[in-house]
Amino acid sequence: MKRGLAINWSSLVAIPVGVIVLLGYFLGGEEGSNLGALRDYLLQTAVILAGVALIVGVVNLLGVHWKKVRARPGAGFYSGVLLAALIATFILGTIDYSLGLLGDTERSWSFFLFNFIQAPVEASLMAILAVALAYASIRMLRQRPNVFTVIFLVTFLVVLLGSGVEVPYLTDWIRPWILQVPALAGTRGLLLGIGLGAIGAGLRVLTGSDHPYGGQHG
Amino acid sequence: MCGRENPAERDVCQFCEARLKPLTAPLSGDVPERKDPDDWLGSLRGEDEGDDGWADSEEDTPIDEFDLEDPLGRLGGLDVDADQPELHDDQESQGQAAPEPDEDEQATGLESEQVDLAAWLASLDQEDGEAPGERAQVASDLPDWLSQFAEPDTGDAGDVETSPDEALFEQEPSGVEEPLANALEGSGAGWESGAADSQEGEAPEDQLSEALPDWLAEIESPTSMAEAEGAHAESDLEGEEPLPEWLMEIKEAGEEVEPAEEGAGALPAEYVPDWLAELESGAQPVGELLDEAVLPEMTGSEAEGDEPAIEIEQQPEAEAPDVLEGEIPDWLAELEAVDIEAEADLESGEDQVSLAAAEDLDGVLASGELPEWLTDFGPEEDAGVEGDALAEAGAGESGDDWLAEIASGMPLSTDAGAMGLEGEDEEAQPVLFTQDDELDEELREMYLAEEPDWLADVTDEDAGVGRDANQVEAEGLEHAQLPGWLEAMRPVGAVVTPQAQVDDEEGEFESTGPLAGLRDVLPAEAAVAAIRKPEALTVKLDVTDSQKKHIKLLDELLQAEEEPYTLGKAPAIASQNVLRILIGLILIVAVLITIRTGSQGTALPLPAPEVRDANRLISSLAPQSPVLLVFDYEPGLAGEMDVVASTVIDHLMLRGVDLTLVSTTPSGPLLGERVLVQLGSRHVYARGEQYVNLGFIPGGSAGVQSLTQFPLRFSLPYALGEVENYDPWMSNQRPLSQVSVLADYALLVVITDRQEAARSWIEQAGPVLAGTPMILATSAQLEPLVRPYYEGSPQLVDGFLSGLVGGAAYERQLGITGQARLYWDTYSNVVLVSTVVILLGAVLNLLAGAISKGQPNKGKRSDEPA
Repeated sequence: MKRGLAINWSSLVAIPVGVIVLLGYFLGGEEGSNLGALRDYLLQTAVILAGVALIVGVVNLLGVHWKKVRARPGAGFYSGVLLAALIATFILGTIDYSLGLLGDTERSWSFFLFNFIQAPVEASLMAILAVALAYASIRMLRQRPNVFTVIFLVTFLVVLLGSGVEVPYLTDWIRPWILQVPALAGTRGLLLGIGLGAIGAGLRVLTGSDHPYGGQHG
Repeated sequence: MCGRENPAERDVCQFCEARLKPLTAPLSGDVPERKDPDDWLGSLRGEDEGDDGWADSEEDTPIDEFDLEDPLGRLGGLDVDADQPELHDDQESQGQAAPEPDEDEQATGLESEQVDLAAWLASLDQEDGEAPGERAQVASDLPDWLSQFAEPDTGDAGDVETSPDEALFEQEPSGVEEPLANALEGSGAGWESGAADSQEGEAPEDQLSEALPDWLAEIESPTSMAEAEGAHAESDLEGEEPLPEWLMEIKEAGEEVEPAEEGAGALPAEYVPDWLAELESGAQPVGELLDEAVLPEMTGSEAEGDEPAIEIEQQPEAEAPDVLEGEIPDWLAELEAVDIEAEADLESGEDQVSLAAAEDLDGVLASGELPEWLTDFGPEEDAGVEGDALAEAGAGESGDDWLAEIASGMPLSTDAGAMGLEGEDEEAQPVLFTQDDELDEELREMYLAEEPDWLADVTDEDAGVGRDANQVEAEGLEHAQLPGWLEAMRPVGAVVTPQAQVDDEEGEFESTGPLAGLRDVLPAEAAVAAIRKPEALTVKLDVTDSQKKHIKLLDELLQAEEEPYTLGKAPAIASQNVLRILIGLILIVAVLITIRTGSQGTALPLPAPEVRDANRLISSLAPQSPVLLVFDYEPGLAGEMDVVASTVIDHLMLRGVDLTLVSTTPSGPLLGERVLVQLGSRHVYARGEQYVNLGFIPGGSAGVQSLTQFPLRFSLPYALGEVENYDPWMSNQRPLSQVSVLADYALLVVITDRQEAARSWIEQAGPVLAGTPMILATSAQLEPLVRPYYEGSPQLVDGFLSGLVGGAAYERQLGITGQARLYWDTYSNVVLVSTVVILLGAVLNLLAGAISKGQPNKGKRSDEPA
């Protein structure tokens, strides 16, 4: 285990970059500012690296599931399906790109896969989620029959019913009041918390206390 | 082991039960008895070394004549062994010089001889005035052979050459055996000068201190030898070291009668027996020999530098016989009546006398000139006589109690050395005549090396062990004091109280091993023999009835825990699955019924202010105004988001604006393309003409930030579907012809279902839009999150619509019939059904739960669903 004065190269890069980008927001707003240009350069580099990271993630996903398929041929069935779908999508996308069919919604294989496989599957999952939420709502009073459960369930039913059914007072007064007063208050509190958390996380990164990009403390 | 005095007839110490007499049978024949009953320390050592050790040492002795039965010689070694190497012959052969098995007997014999010596000294004391004449008579009565020996031959003294070791031994003050042996051999060597020669080289005490072993030095130190050496170191008898009282008395008496004649080392003639004085007059070597042998401790005058050790006044020989006959002590007279059997014993070879000495003795005995007193040294005395008997005999012969007192006050070790020469023991005499050249140097070294220090100390203190306890007490002697280390070695039985010893009489004697002869020692053999398999002990607990009940209850509990949990037979379809399926079927039926009926009679919801603001902003767009359309939602929510997005995009198309599609998700460009394609059937919107799809913006928030800072052509250099015109910005497409930066767009529409995407666009792009309005079309779940930005100040979101309700309201506001209208009836029916199902199901489950709590749990786990 190497500890102590070992140089953390990730922090050595991340902290100065973060400081430059942060200062660029306050001091690099002027046209032709070197600090602003450096900030923009770093941002553009980050975007490119994010795109590369996506490719790296895909390659890593391919390697992980490939190992699973080789290690456990019987149990790696779904990994095999994933690999097959990934490879098929890549091949079809390459064909579409080579044939100039990426924007052709009628002949593109990529669009066909997306429109008739990915979108319906994900939509079906959301439909199952609706049934599961309905079942959970039914079981809620049996599992935890208390006041908060009743309040939660009643609020849920009022908002749901008011969103789809025109009920006097419920649709016009009760549902809007619930969404714009208590729900908004909670959301604003949540946003404030998110903002404070983002500032804290940024300072931790800048001071080297946190290493979300990896490293010893990451 | 306790060191106390015990009667001679006891085999076991009456105090510590230690074995006083060895258990082993006495050696047969002439082999001396090594185990002295009172010599407990000797027995210890003997046991330690084992009998084999003795046998081995004897077997290893290369010269049989060294194996002399010489108890007196060994006793003599207590004090003068180192000084008289001749006396160590048998000791060396035996490998030790410390107390031998019959040491006690010798010690007692020494006592008797000591008494005799006292008597003799007393006679000297009484006859000091008449001594010269009597000594002359004694000298005249000496046999010829002895007189011949007594011929002074000092001229050869300086010619005698001896080896260093021999010289060392010759230098010893009491080393008279060699001169005597030389005299017997007729060598004529200067027996008296031997000592003188040896004294010439270096001081005898120095040589002795270098050559003698430590133990022997320790022996000498407490004895009168040390005193004698000390006296020599001071060159005269007038040394400052105090002499023993008895010696001082004698000395004073001698001085009164006759002052010191020749030097400090000269022996007063009063202290020399008359008969010996006679011998000295005629045969000085013999007289000097005896003087050196007998008187060193008394006079301390021997070995004095270069001066002769003893100078005996020459007495007229004519006067000696008369005086000797009249004044000779009784014991000496008795010696004269010794049995002639001594000759036979001497010749029998039992004494291991050297051949030369034996021949001389044979000649002397054959001539019949051996004086009777000298024959008394013969072997007729019983070597096994107890020391007590000898002491008593000696005292009885002398008939003077005061002699016994004197003897008791004399240093015993000194007496031992002296008695070694004058003793009556037959074993002492042959050693005296052992030739010096017969000494085996190796054996001598062995003897010197094997004698431990501890034994020397013990021997010195052990001298009084052989005495009778009553006699010791009568003499007022102090009991022997054991050394500390030896005290620690004593067995426990030695320190227990006498009462405890009496109570423990049943103990057995140890017969083997180093503790042989001791009682109540740990019987190692018995313990080993007693090892056997331990008896099986039964544990029987007294269990009460109450405890039995508790045991039974605990046993039942444990058995119940071990019993397998009886699970109820799993139903073919679980109730929870039935409920889920039932809920799904209800919802599906509601949807199917609505679709089947095609009902669109349900009224659309009224538009909310945010919806109206969004409609107003889009309605204010001029035709061909550049609008940035962001598709950031996932295909899973496409059913909801497509309705919301299509409603807004339909309105934009109605306005004839140019659309630029971007997305921060990989699937966003395809979703946007799909919506535009679906709406393109009602509008004439072609890619590259009315809209452009710039694709995916990587980096999430960083990508959005980059989009706001750079010209769009640098951030979005590629376009979906543009193969021929690789760079969309170079193709001069209309949607991109009017814009360079984000603020150049007339409207920013963000269609998203994700919180992070909405926040990124609102927070990152909102500040740089510079008056460009931004509206959001979100899912219903993001309405609470977007509303703060809409209702906040400054208002970052100019309007938004969320979910199917927002889309339906927007269509209602727009006055068109879109997808929202198609879905709204079905949605309303399903929402109603769902609300009813959830409400009824919740109430039923609440009741079921209440009922199940009132009933006992019948084998169901708490987590098992109803």
